[in-house]
Amino acid sequence: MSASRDAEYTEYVAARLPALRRLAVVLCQDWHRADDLVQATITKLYVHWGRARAADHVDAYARAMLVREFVHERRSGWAKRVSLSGGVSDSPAAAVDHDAALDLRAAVAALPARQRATLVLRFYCDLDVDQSAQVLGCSPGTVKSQTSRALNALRQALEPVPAGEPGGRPGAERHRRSYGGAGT
Amino acid sequence: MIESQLRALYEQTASSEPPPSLVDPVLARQRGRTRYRWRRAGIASAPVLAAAAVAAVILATGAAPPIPGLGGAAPSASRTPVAGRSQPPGYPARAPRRFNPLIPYASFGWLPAGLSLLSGGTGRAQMYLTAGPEPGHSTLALTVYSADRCQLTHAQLSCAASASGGQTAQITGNAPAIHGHRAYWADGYLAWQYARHGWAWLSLPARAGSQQRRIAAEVADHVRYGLATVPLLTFPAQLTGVPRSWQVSRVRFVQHAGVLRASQYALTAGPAVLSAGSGEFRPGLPFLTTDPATAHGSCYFYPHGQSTREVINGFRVTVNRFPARHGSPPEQQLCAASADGLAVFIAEIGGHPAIGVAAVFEHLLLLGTHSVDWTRAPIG
Repeated sequence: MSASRDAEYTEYVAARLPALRRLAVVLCQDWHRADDLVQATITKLYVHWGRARAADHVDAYARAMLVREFVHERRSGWAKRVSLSGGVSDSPAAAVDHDAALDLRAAVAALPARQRATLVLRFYCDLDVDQSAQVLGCSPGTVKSQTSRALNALRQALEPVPAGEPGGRPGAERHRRSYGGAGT
Repeated sequence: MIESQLRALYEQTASSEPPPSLVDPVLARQRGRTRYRWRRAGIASAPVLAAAAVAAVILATGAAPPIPGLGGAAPSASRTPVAGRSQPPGYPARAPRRFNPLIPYASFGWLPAGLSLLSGGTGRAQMYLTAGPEPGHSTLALTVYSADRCQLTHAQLSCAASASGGQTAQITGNAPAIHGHRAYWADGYLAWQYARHGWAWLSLPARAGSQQRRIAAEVADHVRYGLATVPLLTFPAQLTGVPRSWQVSRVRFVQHAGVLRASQYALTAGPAVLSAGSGEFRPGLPFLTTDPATAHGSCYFYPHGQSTREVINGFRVTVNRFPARHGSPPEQQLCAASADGLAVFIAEIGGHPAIGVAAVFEHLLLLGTHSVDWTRAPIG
């Protein structure tokens, strides 16, 4: 293990940690989970530092690693088994803010991890379909379909509730619960 | 358009005020090194061990940092007053409208045995302190907000450090009054009203038991507030000859040989506008890091033309210039691995900085590594 490898890695992580945390919090919508994600990512980054430093763009390599870690972590069930920021609230759903931004946040939180990651790559990182596919390790067609499904789900979730309709929209309560449970 | 709403949501989230980082690069390197060796050794069980390591990292860096040794003696038995401060002063009647970033507004009056103040951060709307058994292993975090930054509903407490960021937690129950003020248990925290219009939060261990909650309440009960209760921050460098409107807006500091040494700080210009988003970086103004240089410190040289090496004020520096890319604004960085014993890092985000990072470094008077030479005035 060369000292220069360690020094390079340390300098890189120190310099880019704020940016990695920002991307992670956009994915997780929660700073604590974001820090866990960054911790896991930079651990892996150390293991693969030789490959990372040789990449055309180290930041892009680290970003891809973080996004894949996010998808993998959600898929593996750790996110469900390990509660890092408190359990589901016992408080009634009425406490939840009905502000549109919070509704959108809740709707995004209810999306599957891969769809969330796709949206972040497309609309936060501004990657095109091919670049997003490269990061996610899937085909461009999959990115298109994931994006389309995710946006449709968000549109449905944010449809206005018809006045006087008993029960309101079907998805709303699920999203509100998700918001409260996620603790975001 | 849902796309533009999404972009706005992402931007808002990304520019929110980050809480103290729980990321531990040293731990990552240690665990990464172990896994790297396993991989090189070709151990068949490496993936299983790696998964275990990831799980351990997740557990070790959970949202509510564990307080080591809390299962032992009761608070009264293990109480160790912070040096020279046996009696906490009274609580302020009203929270200040804004904090002075150069003076931490709160301090720990008591910590469990084995823990001491490690680091902290100050801003106009929020400040925090961390404590732990040794540097790099903070296990306790206190966050205090200035007046009118928090809103309490019957089930939720939300605090905003800027227009776009802060923290929110679901109230899970009533806590014993802290110094006579109302207090609540909230997802991973003990939150209490330290003064009229002002709230404070203390992190709890995951699944904190009654003993740990008692100790957390004890820590909260002894927090001191007010400018007279804590020492001023000291800076190992001083900016000179910069625009008069420049002010320090946020500082991250560490306990260093008995003083609170400013490690990172951000600048702003003009009067404080608390309603404007005050992220970690103010566009066009520098964010500085000044720490003692280390023997193996170096500056990362980006291999695709972003980096240049220069000599400024007799010190070798690396200047990085990143163009706008993928929605991120352009950024300039200057790194000096060792300049008068200090490692200096300056960053500026935005396309039109008032003064470039190289010029900022030219105006930076480095004060060496001895705390007696440092200054309490970061802008001369």
